[in-house]
Order: sequence, then structure tokens, then C-alpha cells
Amino acid sequence: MKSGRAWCRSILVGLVVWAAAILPSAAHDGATSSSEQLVDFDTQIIPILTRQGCNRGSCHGSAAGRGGFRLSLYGGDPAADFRAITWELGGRRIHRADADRSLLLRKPTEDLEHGGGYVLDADSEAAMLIRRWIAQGARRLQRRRVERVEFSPAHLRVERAGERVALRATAYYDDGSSEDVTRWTAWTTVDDTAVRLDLEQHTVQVERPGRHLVLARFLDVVAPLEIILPYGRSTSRNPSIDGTASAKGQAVQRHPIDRLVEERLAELGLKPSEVVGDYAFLRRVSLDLTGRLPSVDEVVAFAGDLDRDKRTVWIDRMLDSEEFTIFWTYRLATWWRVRAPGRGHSRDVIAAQAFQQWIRESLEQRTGLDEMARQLVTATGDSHVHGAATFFRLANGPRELAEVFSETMMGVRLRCANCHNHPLDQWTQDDYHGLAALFAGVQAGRVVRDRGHGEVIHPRTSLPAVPRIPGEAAPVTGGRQQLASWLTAPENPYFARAMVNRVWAALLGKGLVEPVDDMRRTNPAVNERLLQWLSEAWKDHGYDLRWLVRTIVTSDTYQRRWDPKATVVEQRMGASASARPLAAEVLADALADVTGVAWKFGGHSEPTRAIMLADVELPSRALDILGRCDRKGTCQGAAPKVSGLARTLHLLNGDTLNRLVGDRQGFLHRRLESGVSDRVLLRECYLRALSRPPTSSEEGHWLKLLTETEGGSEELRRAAWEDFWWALLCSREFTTNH
Amino acid sequence: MSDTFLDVVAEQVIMSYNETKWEERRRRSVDSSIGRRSVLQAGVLSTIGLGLADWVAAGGDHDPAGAARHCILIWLDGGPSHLETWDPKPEAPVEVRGPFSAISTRVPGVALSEHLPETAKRLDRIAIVRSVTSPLGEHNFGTHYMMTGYRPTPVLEYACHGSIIAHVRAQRGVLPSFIAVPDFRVGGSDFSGAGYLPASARPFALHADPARPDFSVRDLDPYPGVDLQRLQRRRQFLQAMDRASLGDAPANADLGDPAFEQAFRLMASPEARQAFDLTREPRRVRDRYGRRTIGQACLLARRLIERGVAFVTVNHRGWDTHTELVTRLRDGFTGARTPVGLVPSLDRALSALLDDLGASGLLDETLIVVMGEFGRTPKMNVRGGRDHWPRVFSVAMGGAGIPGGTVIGSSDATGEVPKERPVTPADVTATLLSLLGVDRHAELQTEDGRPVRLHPPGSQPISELVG
Repeated sequence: MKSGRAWCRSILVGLVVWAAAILPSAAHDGATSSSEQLVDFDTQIIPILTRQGCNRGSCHGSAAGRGGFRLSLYGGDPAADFRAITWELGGRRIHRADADRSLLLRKPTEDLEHGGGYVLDADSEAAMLIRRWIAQGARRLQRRRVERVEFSPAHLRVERAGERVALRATAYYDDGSSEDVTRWTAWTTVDDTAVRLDLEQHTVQVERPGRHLVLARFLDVVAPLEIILPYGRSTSRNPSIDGTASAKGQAVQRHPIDRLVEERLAELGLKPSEVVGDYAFLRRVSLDLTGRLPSVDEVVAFAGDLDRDKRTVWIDRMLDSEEFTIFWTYRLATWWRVRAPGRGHSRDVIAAQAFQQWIRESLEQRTGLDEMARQLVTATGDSHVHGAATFFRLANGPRELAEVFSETMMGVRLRCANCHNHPLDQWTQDDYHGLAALFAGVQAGRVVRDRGHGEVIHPRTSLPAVPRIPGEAAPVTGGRQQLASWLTAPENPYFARAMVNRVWAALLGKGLVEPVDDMRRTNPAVNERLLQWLSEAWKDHGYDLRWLVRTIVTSDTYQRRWDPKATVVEQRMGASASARPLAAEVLADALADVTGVAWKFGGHSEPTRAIMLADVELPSRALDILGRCDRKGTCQGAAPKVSGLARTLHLLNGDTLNRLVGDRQGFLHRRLESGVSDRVLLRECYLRALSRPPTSSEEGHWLKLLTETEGGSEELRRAAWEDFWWALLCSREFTTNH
Repeated sequence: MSDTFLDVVAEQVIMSYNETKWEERRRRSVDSSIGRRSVLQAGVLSTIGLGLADWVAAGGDHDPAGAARHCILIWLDGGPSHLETWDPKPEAPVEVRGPFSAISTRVPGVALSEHLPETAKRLDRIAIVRSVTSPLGEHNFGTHYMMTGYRPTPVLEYACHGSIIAHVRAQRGVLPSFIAVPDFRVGGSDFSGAGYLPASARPFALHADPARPDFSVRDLDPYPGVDLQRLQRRRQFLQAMDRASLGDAPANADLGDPAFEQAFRLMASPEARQAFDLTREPRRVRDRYGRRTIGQACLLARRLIERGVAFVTVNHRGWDTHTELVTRLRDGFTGARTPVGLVPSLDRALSALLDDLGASGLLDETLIVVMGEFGRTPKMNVRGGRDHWPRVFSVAMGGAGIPGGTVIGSSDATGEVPKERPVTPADVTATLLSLLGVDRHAELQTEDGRPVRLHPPGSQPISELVG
């Protein structure tokens, strides 16, 4: 039977269009195919409601229903829908003796006035199926359940714009039957300006080059179909790849990341840019690994280092440094939303510091991220001592904890499933409230403990929700311990991918999945094979953060040159690096290092590095202007508090940059006092701020301008240098990592 | 070499920023009365990364005949209760009716909340849409939908009305085209406003409360010791710097922050800076608007549009009244931690604005819109508040030739669902854009070439309002 089914499938690929259009009932390949076959509510009527849009969030699928008729969103709850259709309103929605008098048919065919308008043709196959179901007694047989649905093409590359591609969906049921459900599937596209769907013929046409997605939904199964129309005219073999490999002139094995990225680029008809030079490499990798610009000494030493493997050697040195630990503590603190519980002056800064300190110590001891996650999820005790416990104090109640947990640890946004099953993913309200119930017993004062009781009311049943792990059927009895074991088990499909994706985003600007906390079936990675390989390999290496960072930064993909002409797609796919704005704290520290004027944030009397602040609410206009994140959300792509003109006015006229530039004890003025020559000073400025010497034309240009004041007063000379210094620190080259 | 470098720098002042270049061209084309269309035909714009068709479709430089030149959007952030403002239900049971009563207005048969008495007297200048309906009951989502006409999608952040107007209209004078008073923290602050448009289309947020006695726009005065001449030099240096590091970047790359250019121009103009000086208004005028933030913000909005600003968003926060609705909507007392007395202060500010703009004649060319991201639940909750309710709520509009006294659509007896003529946020956007002269077919492009229609697909301007 199995081989028979496969055989059927292969023929049907060719026959799909006419099979769907001409011979609807012939598409059944199950055992029964008589026209008097009983209609199954769950697998035949519900899909109609979904395809016609009846149970959308904007219609009867909304939480309150519409026009007094409420359906579960996208048919997530067939039992409730069956009740609503057959029992409510005194059963008037169906008329068993004369199906055509059923409201279920009269409304959508606009035989009666219908707020949603005309959504069903009375002569359509869908209407006939509904009619038959009612005539058969409008029963809920639960004859079969969907086991899986195959949508095709799951992945396809077309060579010409406008080429028609047939869409197809096949449902496989638990009774062994299968059925072509193409016409009962809701097909949508993410970008309808690039992808044209023909819902009569069930075809799709791609109008613009790129990687496009079509979303398919049958019952609660959703899946993306990827269709690629390559850029340029290159064929699937990309000569530049061979070129790159042979340029190295070795038979060394290609870095797995580069192999996977370049395969993807070839498929898209894109070419990678070359690898960056030494100066740009050192600046980029220093900022990414240590959050600092390289010192002038390091820049010079690296340039003069003749070791062929110097990049790897320097990477390893940085990975072992204290700066790496400090900076990646900052990054993890951002991801895990370290901040002070409470509000305003009563916020508990010590708890935030303890949380951060716990991260730092874990990284110092090279604890695997799986073990850190386990400790975090199971943390109890005094949050001033056991810093990880602070995590539970940062959310407002068990529901919010469930959301924060899903976003930070699973890279998944469960929050939609609070009020209804997630429309674009598998998540149900049971998952959401089940996870929340798991946290219901957590008492989150300064001391975090499990009370052993506490519940979350499931809005659908109005009963306490059963504690559950998302996606798992069995109730949880082992509390947070069990959740932690599940999360960090090697077979867990979320944790490693979520963390790998975040590290990738930190190092290359954008995640393989974007936004990084919105991983779901309908939002596939730009390079799934890469994400998969990296996640698996990382697990095999004990969830070691340094291994992961090292693996990425030693690849050519990481070391590609930033090409200002590169498109967003080229950057996302790894063909070019991108210019990433420095995070506010990193930029603040870079400004302090370069100008030689330290910050004293808040009440601190000692110089402070911004990346080491655990309390992100510490008042600082400078950090607000530079765009610091409040760590209440993902901190990715969030609009800075201060933007545009207001920010610029501050950089021009405010005391942040002007104070640093004008400080007589700072680098610039001390060097001017020392009587150093303009040429030397110019080089020092470039090396300090941009980690490279000026080009000869830059040197010529600036020296000319800066020496124009010669013969004028010392004051004029100083002012000219200050203005140059200011411009350098505002420049794109300084304020981004590229 | 040296002279040529200075020339190069001078040239770069004009050439380096994409945006600057655009501004320059735009200004030149206006100055020489060539008109944009002929510039377009000359093909000059093909290098600056904006689709030509967009501009033609958007109506070119000149406002199409009859279009409003200005817009003041009074944004009631958090979601104002339609039942306590524009759509009271005096006949409904008490848990729906709420604590306030309704009053009759200048328009027979149309009632407003008792706390909008001044507005009620001027209702002949305002149209109310009582049947706006949306499925999005979360602040960020609702705000994105109401401000852009598009539902939020992970693919693209759309641009709000103000940013669109700022982008397609030539800036008049040195004041930014799109100003937010006191700030643009709307819908929980996740929304930049400009979306896919360049940073230059973002709102200029003052970050200063005009109701405070020490109000002044932050950082508008030069830093001690740095005079305008030096600022000018910094400007040139910065442009040269970015130019050098970017090499032969294409003209449509985002070459940096065009806000620097705007900042330089703004600073150099004393007239522009006076626009922000509320002490130039007589005391009784300031009192008439009410001394609360929304009052002084509306007064400032009036001063700004008098000086040519195209779009002002007055952001009035605090309307998310889950609890203590009576205190927050009606009572006023000083020192409150949350904004209170919201409805009376709106009433005062809005009526003063209508009076002043009416008297100066500016009302005919200024569109006033009052709205938030959604309405509130028809039934009061147990905490004396109302929760989010997007299924039906109201939007008010006035000026710009809108027939006042009109009521579009209606909600049912309990303010729960639209009864007649449902209007979507996309329709509201289309109405606003139509009134502001943005053509139905106008399109802009994102950085990666994706065309975006300014009127959301499927939207329909409200015909009674756009004429």
C-alpha cells in the first residue's frame, strides 16, 4: 500500500491541475469513493470554513465571534465549531430536512443578508458538500484525523519570471486514506506584489527575483513553500565559488558554513563579495568578540604579523580574554532581559547585578549554554545571591513568564496563543496556558520559591489549565525541573536553534530567522540547512558559546567585505557583510576609549564601562541618545528612544559629544599640547577611531584643511582639530561595525 | 590639490547625501519654477532612487487643487473610550452606559459625552465616524493599523500618514515637515513612524512638554564655544568623511543621517526657532487651550502649521483606561501620577484649535483628526474601567472642507459592533491621504524595490468626507 501511495503521488504531480479541476471526487484514493460517502465534519467541513475565510480573526473566528456566531480561529476547535453550528441558536443554523434552508448555507450565499457579504457560491463544490453533510444528518463522525499534510512544491527554483507552478496539497489520515486537498487548502502569500496566486487554477507565478514564500493551511497544518527566482542570469553553478576555492590554492576542506552559504547563493544566482583586508577584519572581530575597538598597538601588531594563520590565532586569543567574557555577558544579559525588578527609585538594582554576575561567572567557567538555561529555568532562592532567580521577577505573573520564556529560550512567540490558537503556527491555547500553569506556583519576591500551588485559568474551559510543556500532550508533574530537562535535551527542537540564531544575528547583523524570537513554521530560515547544521554541531560541542562564536568568525562568510552596493537580500544570505550600527553601550565605550574621556554614569563616582551596567534604567541622556534598549523586549530592530533630528541636534549641540571632544584632559587636547606634528596626529586619530591609517589621499586632504589655520592662533588650530575629531566620531565608518 | 579639495568638499555639501541632493534639486526646481514634472521628464531623478512614477502619481510638488495643506493628528494613545467621547449610549444599561451622561449638540439628534460641552457647540465643524472597526486589539498592532492603514506584518513596517506626507511633499521653510509634540511614543513605543521610508521621514519629536514653564526644544541652541561657522565646518567635514569611506556607493544607498542637514538648517533660522516659543502667545490664549499638555501641544501645533509645517501629531497619552475610568477621564487634579481629566482637556484644546484656525481661515486647508488605536469594551469591567475593544470605535475629523455635523455609520445599541457602514482603519487612512492630496494610485518603493501603495489595497476613502 505504501509503495502504491507513493506511485499515486508521483503520477498526480503531473495531473494535479486537471485532477483538481475536473475530477474532484476522483482525487480520493482511499477505500471508499461512493458519492454517498458520509461527509466528515472535522476534515471536510472545517477546511471549507477556513478556505472561505469564515473562521478568520476578522470574521467569525474573532474571540467574540461576529453577528452572534463564533467559530474557533481557523477551525482550531472542531468540537466547539460543531456545537456552534448544530446546537446554538436553537439549531437554526442547519435544517436537516431541507439543507438549503440552513442558515449555514443561506447566509454565505447571501440568500439572506450576511455581514460578511457573498462568500460562497451556492453551486460550488463546497456548498454541495455542506448540503450533503446536512442532508446526512449533520453529524460529527470523527471518522478520521489528519496525520500529516504534504504541500508541494516545498521548495522550487523557477528560471523565468511569470512561470506557472502548480500547487498541491495531499492530506494523509489516520485511517490510512489520503486525499488531494489542494482545493480545500487556504493558500496565501507573504508578499503579494512579488507572487501571484491563482486560486482557481491553484497555481503560483513569481514576478520578481528573490526567495518567496507561499503559505499553505489545511486544518491546523500550516507550512511555507519556498519558491526561488534567481537574480542575474547565472545558472546553478556559480563560477565564483570555484574561483574562491582555487584562489586559496589548497585542497583544504571548505568551512562547512561557507559551503552551505555558497550553495544557497548559487541557487539564488548571487555572488559573494571578497574577504576583508586585515584592518577591517581586526576592527570587526574585536568589536564582535570583545565589544571594543582594537588598540593602536594591536592594529599595528596585527598588520605586521606575518603568520599565515594570524586571524585564527588572534580570534583564539580574544576568545580566551576577559573582555570576551564581559562583552558576551552583556549580550546574554540583553537576550535574557537582565534589568532591575520593580519601578523607578524602588527598583531592585542588586538583583539585576546578581543576575548579570551569574552570567559572567558561568561564562568564565565555560559552562555550556544548556546548563545555564537549566539553572535559569530552575532557579530558586534569594535573587540577591542566586542571580538567575531574578529572571522570574522580571515578568508580571505566570502568563507573561510563559511569553518571556518562549521568546528567550525557545525563540518562539507564544503570546498569540493566549486568546486563541496561534494562527501561523502549531501553538494552541493549551500550550500557552499549560506553560503558564507551570509557572503558576512560582512566588517571585526577592526570594523566588515554588509555593506548590497556584493556578492559571484556561479561558476556554474556565478551569485551571493543566501544566504542560508546549507541544507535548502529557501533563507535567515535575514542575520547572521537568521543563528544564525538556528544554536542554539534545532532541529539543527549539533551544539550540534559538541560541544559534541569536549568535548568528549578533555576528552578522541579522538572524537566519528574523525576528530572532519569532521562529515558526511559516517563518523559515533564509538558510535552513545552515541553521540545522550549526545547531546540531553546537550541541555536539556541548553548547559551548566560544566554540560557536569561533566557528562562525573563522568562516569566510563572516569575513566578507561590506559592499555598500549590496542589497538587503545579499546581506541576509551571506554574500556581503553589512554595516551594523554599534549598540548604544558599545558606542559609548568606544567614544570613551577613543577620546580618552571616561563616562561616569548615574551616581557612579568611578569611571564605568557602559556594557557592564546591569541597570538599564540608570538615567543617562547619552545612552538614550545613542539608542540603548530597555530590555523589556527583544532589543532587536526596536526604534531608539531618540531618533532622527532630535538625536542629531543633540550630537551637534548637546553636551554628550561636545564634552568628549572638548575635554582638555582628553586624547586630542593632550596630543595637541604635546606639540606632535599634524601628520602624526592625523594618523593617530585614524588608528584610534577607525583602526586603520588614513589613505594617502585622505591624509593629503585633511592635512591641507587642518593646517590652513597655521599662523592663526592656537585657539583656531584647536577648534579646527576639534571639528575634525567631532566629524570623525559622527561618521558612518566610526559608528558602525562593517 | 588643495583648492580642488575645497571644491570637492563644497561639491560634496551638495552631492554627498542622497536626501540632501533631493532637497537641493527640489528647491532648485521650485525656485526656478520649472516644476517637478519637467525635472522628472529631464530624467534627473533617475539617479536618486525614487521611482519617477511615484512622484507623478503622488501629484508632484504642488498640492492638488483643493487638498489640505496641513494636518493635525490628535492621537489619543492607549485607545480612547468611544462611549465616553463620540458615541455615548445613554439608553443602554448602566454597565454599558457608564458613569457619564450624554448631552445634545449643535447638530440635532447627535449626542456627545457630557464632558465634551465645548466640542458639542462646535460639532457643525466636525464629522464623526462611529463605525470604525478593526480586528486588532493590541496597542502596537492597533497603532500600526490606524497610523498606516496596513495591518502589521513581519515583512515590512509601513509608514504612518505623517511620514508619507513628509516624504512626498516639499518641505516648506526650514521647519521639519512632520513634528510630534511632545513625542512620538505611540502604541507602546515600538513604532518609528517612517517604516520603510528613509530616516528623514521620521517625525521630529520634541521630547519636551510644552505645558512646562521651562519648555524649550532640546539642543536647539549651539554648544558654548561652537559658533555657526564651526558648525558649518563640521557639516562639511562629516560629509567628506562619509563620502570617503563609502567610496563609489550608489546614489540610492542610505549614505548617512540626513537629519544632520536638517539640523543645520533649523539651527540657522531664528524665525523657525520662534515657532517653538510659546511665551509669544498672550496669556489668555494659552489659558483658552488649557494649561495641560494637550492644550499647549495643540497651541504649538497651530503655531507650527501657521509657519508651513505639513503634519503635526499631538500625542496625548493615558487613554488606556483599564481601571479608574472616572478619575482618568473626568477628574483633574495636579500631581497625579497618571494623566487625568483627559476628556475635558481634550474638549478645551480641540475647541480652541477649531476657533483659532476658523478665525484665521486656516481651517479650510487644515485637516484635524482625533483618534486612537481602538475603542473600549462596551461593558465596564469590575475595576471600574474598560478594556481594549477594536470591533467598533469612533474617529473625528474636522477642517479641510469636510462637511461638519456629519455622522458616518453607527454602532449598535451597546457600542459593540458596527451597525451601519463599517469603516476599516485602511479606509480611514485612505480618507486622510485623499484629503491631503495623495492620489489613490500613488506608490513608493522600499529600499529593495518593493512597491508600496500609499492607499492600502482594498481601501475606500469615506465618500461623504472627501467630496
